[in-house]
Amino acid sequence: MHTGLERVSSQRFMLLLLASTGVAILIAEYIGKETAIVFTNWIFVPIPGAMLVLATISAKKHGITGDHGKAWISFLVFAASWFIAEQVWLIEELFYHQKPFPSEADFFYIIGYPAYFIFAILYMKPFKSLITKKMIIFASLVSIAVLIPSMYWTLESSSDEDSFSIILGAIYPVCDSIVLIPAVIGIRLFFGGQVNFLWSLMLIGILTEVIADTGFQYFSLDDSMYTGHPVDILFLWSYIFFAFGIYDNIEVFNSKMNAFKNKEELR
Amino acid sequence: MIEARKALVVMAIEKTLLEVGRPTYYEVLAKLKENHNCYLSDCYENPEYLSNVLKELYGQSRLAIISSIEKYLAEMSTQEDIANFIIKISE
Repeated sequence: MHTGLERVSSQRFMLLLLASTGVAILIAEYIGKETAIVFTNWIFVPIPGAMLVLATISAKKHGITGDHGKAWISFLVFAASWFIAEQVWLIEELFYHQKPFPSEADFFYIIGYPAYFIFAILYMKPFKSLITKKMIIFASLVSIAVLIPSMYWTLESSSDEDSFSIILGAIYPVCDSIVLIPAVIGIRLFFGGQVNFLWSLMLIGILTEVIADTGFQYFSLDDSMYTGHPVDILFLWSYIFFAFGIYDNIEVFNSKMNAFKNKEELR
Repeated sequence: MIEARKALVVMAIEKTLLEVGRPTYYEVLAKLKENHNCYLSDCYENPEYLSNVLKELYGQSRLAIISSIEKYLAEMSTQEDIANFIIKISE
């Protein structure tokens, strides 16, 4: 049973993980750039990997039945594509000693966005009758408010980069702001319900991603961006927020069924 | 006759919940048992139990699920007890 106490304990664990991963990257950076590059590349294996495992568990648990079943399959595609992207980045940088941006990793990052968007739409489909125009307009305004400064810094700071890198760098804030819309709607829609925690963490995760993507472009200007830069802490944190959101959702829908041996008796 | 209407209400609830997802359906069954010591069929007499459980899971968005259940029962809403069920669950 997913009690309030369990949720508090899982939130504490999340805060501990956020703090420890942040401190670990900062220590690695303090030791030296090479250490930071190696450590940060490798830490992007277990954290996005944990999100992928949790997404797999959630998709398996839901099966293909119902809108939420299809939604979690879509989320699994998102988690898998971003996990692959992180591993491509690692291989490019540590094994081929190539600059990982732009690279094949970007293809996997970008295809993850529509998968995430489809997840959000399918999750909210059973509740679509409650989504008002006002809610969509408000969420869009929030999204635009986030996009404008992000795009400004992205384009402003990209003046020395080649046009392909500028366009690629600009795609990320645009995609982030698009996926922000359903996250804002989700928070409003499920306010007061247990599933709201998932949507709160989805929103925080996306906002963290927006700041990280903007920071990435900003520091790419003078070539000061490298794997292990403090901006990478934000990328890592967004995976942690997503992972704990999924974990909480699994727990919400896992809480009591094990207590009953014969589910059909409950009808 | 009352049993037939009860079965129809249970079917409408089951169909709606399964359209959301299998875990939602089972979670609602389990919460009904744990919080109210009742089964899905008891929701015919006590629709507020189902409403409470849905509120716990989805907050105010439970109204969308309730509205779907109502749609399935629309044809039978002229029956007094079905109409009462719809009124009570929407409160």
